[in-house]
Amino acid sequence: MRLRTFILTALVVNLALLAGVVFQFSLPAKVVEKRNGQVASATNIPESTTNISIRLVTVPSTTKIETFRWDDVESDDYLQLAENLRGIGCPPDTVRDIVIGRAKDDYADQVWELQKPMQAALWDYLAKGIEIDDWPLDKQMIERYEQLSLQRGETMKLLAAKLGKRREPEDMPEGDRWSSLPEEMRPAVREIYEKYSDIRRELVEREEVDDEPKKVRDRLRNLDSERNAELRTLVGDDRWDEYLLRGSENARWIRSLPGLKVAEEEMREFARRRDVIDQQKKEVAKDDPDREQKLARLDAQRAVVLTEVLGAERAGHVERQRSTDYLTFRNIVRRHGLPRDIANRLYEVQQVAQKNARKLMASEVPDPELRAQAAKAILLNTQSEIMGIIGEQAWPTMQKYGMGWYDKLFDTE
Amino acid sequence: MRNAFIVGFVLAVTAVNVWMNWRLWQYRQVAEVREAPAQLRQVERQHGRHVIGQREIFRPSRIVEQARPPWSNIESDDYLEYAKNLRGLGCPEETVRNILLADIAHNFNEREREIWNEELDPFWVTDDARQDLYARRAKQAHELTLSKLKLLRELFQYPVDEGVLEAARNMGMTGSITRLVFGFLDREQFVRLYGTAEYYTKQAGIINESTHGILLPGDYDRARELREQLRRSVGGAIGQNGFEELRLRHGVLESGQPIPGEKSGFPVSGVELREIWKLRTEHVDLINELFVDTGFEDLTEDVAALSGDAVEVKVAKYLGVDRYADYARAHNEDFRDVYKFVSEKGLRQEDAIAVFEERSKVADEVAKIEAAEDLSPEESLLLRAALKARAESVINQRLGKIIGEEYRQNDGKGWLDEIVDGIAAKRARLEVQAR
Repeated sequence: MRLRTFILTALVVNLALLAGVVFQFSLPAKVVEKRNGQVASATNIPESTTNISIRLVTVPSTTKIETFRWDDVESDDYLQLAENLRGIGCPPDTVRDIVIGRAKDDYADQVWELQKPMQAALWDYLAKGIEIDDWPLDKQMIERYEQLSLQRGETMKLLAAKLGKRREPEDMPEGDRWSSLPEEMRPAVREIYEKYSDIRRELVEREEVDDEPKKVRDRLRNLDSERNAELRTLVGDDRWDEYLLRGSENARWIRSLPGLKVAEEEMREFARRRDVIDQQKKEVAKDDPDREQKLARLDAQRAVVLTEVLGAERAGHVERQRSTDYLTFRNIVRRHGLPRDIANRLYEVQQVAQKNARKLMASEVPDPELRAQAAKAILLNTQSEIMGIIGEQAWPTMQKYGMGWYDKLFDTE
Repeated sequence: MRNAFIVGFVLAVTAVNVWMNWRLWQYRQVAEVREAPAQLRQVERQHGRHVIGQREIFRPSRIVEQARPPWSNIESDDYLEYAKNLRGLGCPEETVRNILLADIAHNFNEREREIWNEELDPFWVTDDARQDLYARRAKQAHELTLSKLKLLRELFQYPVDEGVLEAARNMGMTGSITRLVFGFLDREQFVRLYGTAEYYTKQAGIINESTHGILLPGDYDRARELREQLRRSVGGAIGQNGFEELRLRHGVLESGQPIPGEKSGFPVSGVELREIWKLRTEHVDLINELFVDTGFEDLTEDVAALSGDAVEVKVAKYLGVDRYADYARAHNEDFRDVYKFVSEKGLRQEDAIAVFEERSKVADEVAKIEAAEDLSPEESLLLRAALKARAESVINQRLGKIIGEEYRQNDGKGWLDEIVDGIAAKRARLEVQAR
């Protein structure tokens, strides 16, 4: 009797538990996010054992997606496929990506298959010593390849004409020279560049077919001046002067000196003064009897501008920029996150060591042993100074990349 | 006893039921935690996992107004979702790839352009400041590239990008070479293989680019890790046999030498040649070479190098002494020249060998004459003339008088004249004249 009661009770409990299992299974997926008024639910993606992360997948609505099947839009005809895609609201860029991608793949598949029979014969051809260019390819295969190449070209041309091109944003021409231009002026400047670019293209095309190519060439030659005049009118004289200054070789040069501290105004002043001298040099007439003296005087003026603007000490550092070793020191220093000044100090040690080495080699110490000792002292001293500057951690890197010059200090000894 | 069994059984069933309820309840609690977006991101970061780049960097470059239903319903702000929707509609995998790769490439180019856009940069700044700016931009660009690589891999479960697809579609000369070297694979296999190689080597390239050319031991460790990952992945992509074939073909292409064969006096079958190339390239670590090309030259130190001589010994053992001699001669440009002439005239290979050996002997003896300091210029000239006469005699003897004459006047003229008109010979002649 007690057993029966126990079994009945257990049956009730188990039925309740089974109901619980069924209930938990039947619960809908949890609502976790609401965005743009759409309900999103989580999929049951198991936690990955690879490094691919578990992610939330947001679906707008399952029923909406099932409104068409891909088979409904498929077609072997590229233009029909494009039409079908447009019909289901596919945007032009995506239509183009699908159709052109499909066409390219179709041709590539055919060409890839075309060369398959050749693969089996590859080692036999090589064994016969036949150059790749002279491989006895089946005539039919070559014809088919040429036919496919031709067809592909035509297809691509047709598709480009029918489907258009993707709009790509264009950079502002000579962007860095116009970087201080107010935002509201930029579209108009862009427009002028575009206008003259179109005119140039048109003229170049005409140049080949025109009855009067000289006229076209003259126009082409004057095109930049015309464009510049228009730009100048648009932006005003001050902005135009700034644009010109930024285009000068002198401005570019002073901006490119590594490790040199120069203020904005110093750069401008240097560029302006040197530009004036360079202009004066250009204006010295070729038949001027004093041409040589005038040019020499201008060159002398030109040479001191840097010292006058920056002062002797900073101007003296300009030599560094010509040294590839200095650039390597900078890279080593940067790689190890050390202060930049360390590269300058390394360069100074290098300069002293090279000077001492040259001095020793030019000296008339007759005893080879004494010379060797002196050389050894320079080397040891230099190495110890470098180690002190660069530190223990960066020293192996310095040895690997930055000591080539050190090994050559006494190359001739 | 019977009752005890029934009670045990009932208790066991009840326990299973209780356990099932408990686990389901627990699962739902865990699922709830996982599904909450904020929590999810936290979990990912804690485990150092890659949070897919698209969430922070890439979103499909859709212009919402351009798409209409029903297409607009399958587009998404999330590439993974977009791909899932397309696949759910039965869209072929190649089409899914074409849509997403083109979109991601466009998206990537736009983002990259934004990073490198200098339009609003201050102009009058020092080189140092500009270099700092450049370094920051390069870092952003590298992050962008890495995100793209990882996103694409996650979308397709294998690495691929638009450059890889274009390489597999190229119809020009590059395409021909690609088809020649990789044509034993299916085109899709090539896409996977090339995509895999690009995936790892691009990452190595990024490491190298970020170091200003100063590679530290840690950089090499990372490159080695990538190299080994690539090694494992390539095997999976094309199998061991496929990789073996690829190594042989790459060896042929890279050797830069004419391949010894029938046309150079070394009759050999395709199977034998393949075996020879196998011996010649089995020590070549193709995967390592890919990484060396990305700037990690010192990685080669890891790979046990086999000397050229050891390779030749293996080839000689395979071919036997006589055939190896033919094989070695076929590598020599001088022999190939004389063999070409002789075979065109319908003469025997032995004749070509005799002429070639005579030429080699003459070259050795001329070198000895030039090195001999005790020889007077007159003696030197005399010996040279004698050597030339001997060489001409061998040529006539082997090729016959008429063909020999033709050879002396055309193909052989250069080396024969060199015996008496070389720089050292001319100097000797001038000295004699001066006396």
